[in-house]
Amino acid sequence: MELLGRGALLLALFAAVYAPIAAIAGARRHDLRLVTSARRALAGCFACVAVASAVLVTAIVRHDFRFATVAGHSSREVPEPYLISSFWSSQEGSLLLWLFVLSGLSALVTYQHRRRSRELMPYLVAFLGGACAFFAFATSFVASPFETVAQVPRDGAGLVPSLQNPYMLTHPPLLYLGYVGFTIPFAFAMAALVSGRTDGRWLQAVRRWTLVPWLALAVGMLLGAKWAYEEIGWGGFWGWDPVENAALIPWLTATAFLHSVIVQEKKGMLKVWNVSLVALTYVLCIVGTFLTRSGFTSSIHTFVVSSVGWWFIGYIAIVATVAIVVIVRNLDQLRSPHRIDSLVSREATFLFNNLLFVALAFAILWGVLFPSISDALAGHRVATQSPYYDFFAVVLGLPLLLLAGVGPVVAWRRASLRGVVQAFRWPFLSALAAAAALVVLGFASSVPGVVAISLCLFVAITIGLELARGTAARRALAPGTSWPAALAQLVGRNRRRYGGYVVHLAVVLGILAIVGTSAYATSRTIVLAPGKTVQFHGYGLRLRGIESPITRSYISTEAVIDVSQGGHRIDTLRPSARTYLDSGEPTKQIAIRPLLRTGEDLYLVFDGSPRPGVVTIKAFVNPLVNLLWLSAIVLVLGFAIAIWPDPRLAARLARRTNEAFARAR
Amino acid sequence: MLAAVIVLLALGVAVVALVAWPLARERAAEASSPDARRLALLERRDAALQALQELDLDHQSGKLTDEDAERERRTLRDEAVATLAELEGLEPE
Repeated sequence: MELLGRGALLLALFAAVYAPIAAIAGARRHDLRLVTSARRALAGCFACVAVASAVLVTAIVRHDFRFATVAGHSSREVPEPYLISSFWSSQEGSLLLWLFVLSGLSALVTYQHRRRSRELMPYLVAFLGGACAFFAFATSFVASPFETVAQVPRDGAGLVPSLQNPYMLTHPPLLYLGYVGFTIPFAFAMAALVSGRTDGRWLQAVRRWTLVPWLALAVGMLLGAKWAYEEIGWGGFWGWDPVENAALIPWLTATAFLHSVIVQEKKGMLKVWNVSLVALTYVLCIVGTFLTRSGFTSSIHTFVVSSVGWWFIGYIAIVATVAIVVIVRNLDQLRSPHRIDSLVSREATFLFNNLLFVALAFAILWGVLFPSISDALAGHRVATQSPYYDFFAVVLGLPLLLLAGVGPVVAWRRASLRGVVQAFRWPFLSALAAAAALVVLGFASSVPGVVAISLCLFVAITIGLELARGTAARRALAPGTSWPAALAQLVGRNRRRYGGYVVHLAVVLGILAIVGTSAYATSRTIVLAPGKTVQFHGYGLRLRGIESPITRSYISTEAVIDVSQGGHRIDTLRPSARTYLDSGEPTKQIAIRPLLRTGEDLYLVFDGSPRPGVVTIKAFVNPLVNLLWLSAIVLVLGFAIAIWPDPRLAARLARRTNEAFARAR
Repeated sequence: MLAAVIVLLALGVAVVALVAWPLARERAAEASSPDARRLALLERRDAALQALQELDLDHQSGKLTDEDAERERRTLRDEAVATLAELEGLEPE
């Protein structure tokens, strides 16, 4: 098993190293055979990594504790469905997962584009092969998942209890798909520049291959938030943990790119900026992984500290240097003859939005790095607290929210004052009315909260009006068409635009949830004695009893609490404290009662038993929090609309390319 | 151990075969490449034509005032005409 795993990884390394060498040689000699051979080497690399991954999965499932990774991150007590989490809970396994996803995507994307992007292919293969080679090297020689132990233990150390959760089966792989997926747009961008082919074909590929990891990161972060909400027990879902930030930072720059790429497609502007954003996003992904995996920052996620850090620093330096050199050497082909005519135009709005996204990304990055920098320079670690991040999230996030409403409606090039008034009077008046109503209803305790909710309404009404006006216009063009059919036609004719609007609606839902839980949540520590009902924010809480179930994996102390509203019992909640038998680690199991009518949660955390028969409970009411989980569904819907292939767009691209090829013959 | 060696050898042979197969074939004639300048102009032409279509819908849906729409339409038309003229200039003599 060990030999097979190590051997397969070495074969993967050989294939990954061969790919760029053969691809570049093929490009220089104009020999398509070498390029094809190089492309196939990526598929070979993936096959080898798949075998190595299968070996590790088999070792985990069979409890083969000869492997240090298996002994250190699983045990016979770990329930079977969660055993697979042992794969990526170790540093070695997570690097193997990275390589698995990277080589798989590389093989897939180069196969998909073997005809469409023929001129880019040698360089595309070279960049992807280079990335695969780094991770194959890291898993072969720096952090091998197939290291064996001198003395085989009878049982493993177990899996961190908080990872034994359904969300942890999907959250890490999705984040990896996100991080790794950004290698593809980076490789496309570099390949386009090196080959001198910066036409729309690479841009279309880059946009699509940015959307996929962008969604994976977004959904991964939301699943992580749900995990934190249900598992950690502080009543919130986002703690500005370095690992959460590491995923958010590249997501922000990728979001900036997804907006600014529209300006390039429509107006031929911002080419240097766009390609820089793609490169920056990839570098930030590697930086995020470095922060997560090197032990550079301390957080609940950083379970291990190892020697991969310096290798990652070297890789980041190489990638950043290559990107800068390639961009600077190709500035001529990226120059645009156009300039932004007016500050009140769609292109200016996109530019502002980009500046805000990038500023927010760097503010968060600085917050993540600052403790380590202060440690290195001043000798003591100054932790970055939530207020720092909250400040930038509010100061930069609120204007971004405003732009989400302005951008889709304001005219390209230059909007007249009359046009602006015509487009925004209803959304603006609605937002103003909402702000006044919120103040009257007593929500003025948080000014950012009132502003954010009003802006959410502004964005939602702008989008609603856009859809209504567009549908009416389509009906006018084809009289007799029903409203749903006209709406479907409208969306179908410009899926990217309307898919983007749906994504904006998801963002609105998410922000409402964030505002609800951060500005208007209520919490209290409550001591419950048997039989007595305590009132908390409209809920009656009555301790029915305390139970102590014991399972194969843990012993637990559960408070059985009847929950009532208006004198009627609506549910029984069981917040508890567990101690896992293999690790001895105590955890808290949260009990949540969602109220779908209002979107709020009653959230109970077991906080100990001060004397026999009595329990202390931390109780929270989190308004609107369920909108966050709903936003994930809306986000996926918007993504599906935006990425669904548009046959007319593909036909136009093919016709244009054929026309250009025909002239070249 | 022996099984691992056999699987590894089979994997190695399969990868080498996969990679070497294209090299065993005859060298194909080099494919032509599109003229980058022409492709850029065609892209600009298509972008202008698509923008004109979107402009009409935006105007009809009341998103743009008559003056804004007319000014933008004029600019886009000028751009499309200039691009088409430049494309014609690229035609071989």
